[in-house]
Amino acid sequence: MRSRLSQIFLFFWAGWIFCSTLLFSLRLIGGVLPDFFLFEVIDSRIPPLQPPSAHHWFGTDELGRDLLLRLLFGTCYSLLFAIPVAVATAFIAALFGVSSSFLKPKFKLLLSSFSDVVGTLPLLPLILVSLAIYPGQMAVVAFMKIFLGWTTLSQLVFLESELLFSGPMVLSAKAQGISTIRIASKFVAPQLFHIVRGYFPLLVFSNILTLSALDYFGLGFPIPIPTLAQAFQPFQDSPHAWWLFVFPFLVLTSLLQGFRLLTTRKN
Amino acid sequence: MRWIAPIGQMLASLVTMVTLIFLIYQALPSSPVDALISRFNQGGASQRINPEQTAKLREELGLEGNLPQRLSSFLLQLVRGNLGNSLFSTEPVTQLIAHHLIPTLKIAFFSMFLTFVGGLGLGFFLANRNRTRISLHWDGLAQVLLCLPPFALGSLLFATPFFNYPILASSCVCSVALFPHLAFQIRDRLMTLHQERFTQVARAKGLSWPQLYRKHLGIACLPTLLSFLPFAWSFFFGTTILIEPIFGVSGLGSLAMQSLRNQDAPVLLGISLFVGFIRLFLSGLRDLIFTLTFKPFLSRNP
Repeated sequence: MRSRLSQIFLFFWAGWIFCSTLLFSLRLIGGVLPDFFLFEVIDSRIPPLQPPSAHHWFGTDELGRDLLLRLLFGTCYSLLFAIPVAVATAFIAALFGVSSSFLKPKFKLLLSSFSDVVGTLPLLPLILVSLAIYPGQMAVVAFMKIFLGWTTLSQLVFLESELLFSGPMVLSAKAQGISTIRIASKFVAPQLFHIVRGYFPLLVFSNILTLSALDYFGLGFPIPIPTLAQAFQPFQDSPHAWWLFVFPFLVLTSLLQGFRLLTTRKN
Repeated sequence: MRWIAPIGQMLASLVTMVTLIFLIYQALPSSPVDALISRFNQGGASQRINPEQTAKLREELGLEGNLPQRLSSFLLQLVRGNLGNSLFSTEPVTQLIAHHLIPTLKIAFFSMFLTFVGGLGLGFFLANRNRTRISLHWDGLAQVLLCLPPFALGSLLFATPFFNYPILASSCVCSVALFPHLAFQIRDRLMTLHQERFTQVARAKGLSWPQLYRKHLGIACLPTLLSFLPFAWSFFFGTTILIEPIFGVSGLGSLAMQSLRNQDAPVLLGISLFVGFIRLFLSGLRDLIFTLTFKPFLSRNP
């Protein structure tokens, strides 16, 4: 049972994501939003490092840009990276997990050992290797996350599909002459979908965390795309500008916490 | 002879890991040499590298020949302890890693100490207070701690007097998100052990909880601790890459970031291999200890 506090939190969390998505969609349409909402425009009339006020609810950053706007767009850009990568990772993991259960025991052991080894590969150093060769290429980061992130979910899917295929329903269906493909599509796949759906928010959580870590060092999205972690660097140079830490910290932590709560709720 | 299987498995995993890292490195269409040359050639015409020099550089870096030849040459060099040379400083990569290892090991030692003390203590404390208000509050707090981005915590500590103690600050940041994991695992393990028959019989015979923990339950948590080590290492190293540059600690994390800015892929590759090797070593050590000690114990005492 989710507590009342978690429900309220998830309500505001969903509201924040909705607002950021709406803002992004309006920007995509073009010509709808006034100039204030164009994050790449730096208005020299706005002084930098202004504390929160009626005009700028979250204050301004070191270039005079509205922090609330940048965090809203940053949320959307982070989700635009995290969700497709999570979908691809989940697809590959499910495919690998299910197909492993059709193999002979010797090959199952080999594939299981292979996925263990891939799981031990260090993610961040390998991403840095790729970025050293392809600086600023988010596609490379996405590829690395997908290639190195499928192992845990595939093991869960594999275990569950083994249990299902050795269960009484599947055995009696096979005895009645129903083909394996039909059994897999009508019975096994829906059961496995629940596992993948339950684990999916954790994949998004992991992707957002990795992207934010790269953004903090300027290795993520290129300028002028706003990100959630960009404001932390100027905070180190201007520690009196507490809003450069507090609001991005709250937004990023709440975003991650929301996905974590979704995972624990579904599991 | 029981030790042969875990060691054999570790060696096979090591070879597979090295091959995979090599293939990832080779699968990228461009190479670090091409990246270096294109950066160099952005200068004046007098600085451009001619094709002969490019071919010589590729041969020195082992980028010539077909894939099996390059892989076998790479594995041979690895067995000899040769991870190549840095493209930026031309120093051997092994020397660079050795030079930057000590600060990272200091942070590793302190953060593991904090993690084990915090995680074990909290895990033992919560196992005896299941379904109480403290347990519920801790669950909520742990969820928040697990969502704290380490670089954000590092930024916060950087703005405090903690900045004067970089090793301690880095260790605290690394352990903040790690010790809840350990506390959860220890708590769950102890709660399972509390339901075991031997625990109930011991309590019925009058054995006190401290005696039970000291003689039986504490040792029973050892497999959990051993299983936690490889995960802790991976987590720790991923965090230290982000934290060391913030506090200016000249460890492996700072070396990785510096190599990234210099587009020095051989150094990054060497660091990846080192981190992966330690992780596999810890996993193999865990399997070896399980095979030599716990499995025979469990087979005698089902």
